[in-house]
Amino acid sequence: MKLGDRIVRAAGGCVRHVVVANRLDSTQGTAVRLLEQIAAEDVALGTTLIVAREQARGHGRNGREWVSPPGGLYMTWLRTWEGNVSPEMLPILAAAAAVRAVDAVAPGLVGLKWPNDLLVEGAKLGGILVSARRGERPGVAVGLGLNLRTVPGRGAGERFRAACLADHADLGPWEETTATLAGRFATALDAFLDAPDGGLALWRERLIHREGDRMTVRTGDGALLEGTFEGLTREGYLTLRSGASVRTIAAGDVIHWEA
Amino acid sequence: MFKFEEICELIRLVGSSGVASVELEHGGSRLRIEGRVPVPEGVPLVAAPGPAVHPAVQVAPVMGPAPAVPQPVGSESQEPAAAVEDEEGLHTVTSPIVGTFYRAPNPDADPYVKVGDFVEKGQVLCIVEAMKLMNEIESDVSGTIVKIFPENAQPVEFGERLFAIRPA
Repeated sequence: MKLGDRIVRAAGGCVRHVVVANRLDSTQGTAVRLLEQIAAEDVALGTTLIVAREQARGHGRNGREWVSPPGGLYMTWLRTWEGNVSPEMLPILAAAAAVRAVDAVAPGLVGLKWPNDLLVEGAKLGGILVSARRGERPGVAVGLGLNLRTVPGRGAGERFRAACLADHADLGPWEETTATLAGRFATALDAFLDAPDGGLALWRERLIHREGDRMTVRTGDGALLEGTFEGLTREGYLTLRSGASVRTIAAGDVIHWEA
Repeated sequence: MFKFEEICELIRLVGSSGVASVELEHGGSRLRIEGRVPVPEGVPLVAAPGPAVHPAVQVAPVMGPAPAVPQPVGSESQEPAAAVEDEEGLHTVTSPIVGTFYRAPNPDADPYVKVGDFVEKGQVLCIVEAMKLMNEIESDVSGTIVKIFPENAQPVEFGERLFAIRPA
């Protein structure tokens, strides 16, 4: 069975279109440009998955390289946006959906570093990047990268150890594993968009941070903020205490943490 | 390697031709796009492949590199802030969320817009990031950028002014 058919079957009707490419610059970049085109033509796009066997220019937040050799999972879930759930929930719900997907092959294995990096014993297994287009024809693209059989090493600017799923679970052939993960991810995200509380609860449950943990956060302008983890706001933003002050952080990288 | 235009064209082809899938080999790479039959509302989807994908998707224009984030460019203004605020008829674009303001799609890219640029309605002006959600903020009017309020990579609040635009 072709990979696209496998994914469609695994997704149980949650995916309308599947694009499988041997090699792309990045599935996320392709998706964002597709959404631009969709917006320009003022049409709708049902849930679509773009899967690449290999990426030439995979990237994460801040344009940091996501090393993407053959054998990993590189995919983007995208669609025009409608419904009651705010796109701001997507980083949380996508993280929960990724947890569900990995749980299908390695139950309970992964934890989440705020806001949505997937970790195994402190090493990075995968990451999520969400792009949202706002305006009269909004659209969203959720990129997911997972190391399956190889530990590609650190990308440029990446300071964390990396992990791969094959070290912790018996994986079948790439097509089979990809179809399972992509299908479960799409199914779970669809369910969480219908009932966000379940996704939010799973996200909080799998976050590795506990109140009082020491952590360092690098913000968008490169500043390093040190303090203790105070908790999360209703929106999921991180709160960091430093002395008498408490700072709310909506965007940043947690680059160091310890209990 | 396949270009984005080729992928769009293939998606369009799948959607309009009624075929279940399309494969293309090019330069040692192979691309396969698989479609499914559009299903009316309320009818459950089945796994059997068929024609699909939105037929209105067409060849895309050549676009810039994939998005990512910041760029060491500051705010800029060719007019004093007070003058901008006093000038009637200016349209203000505000941030729809709390987050970090970025003027470019990635650190190596040019800013989306500069002061003095003419922008079309629907054109992307910037990114505001929250929790790794990269929000592309579009202009809701056509006109000329008069002022960019935040510095690049600066935190912005909900409703904070991002751009002043003189409508065309």
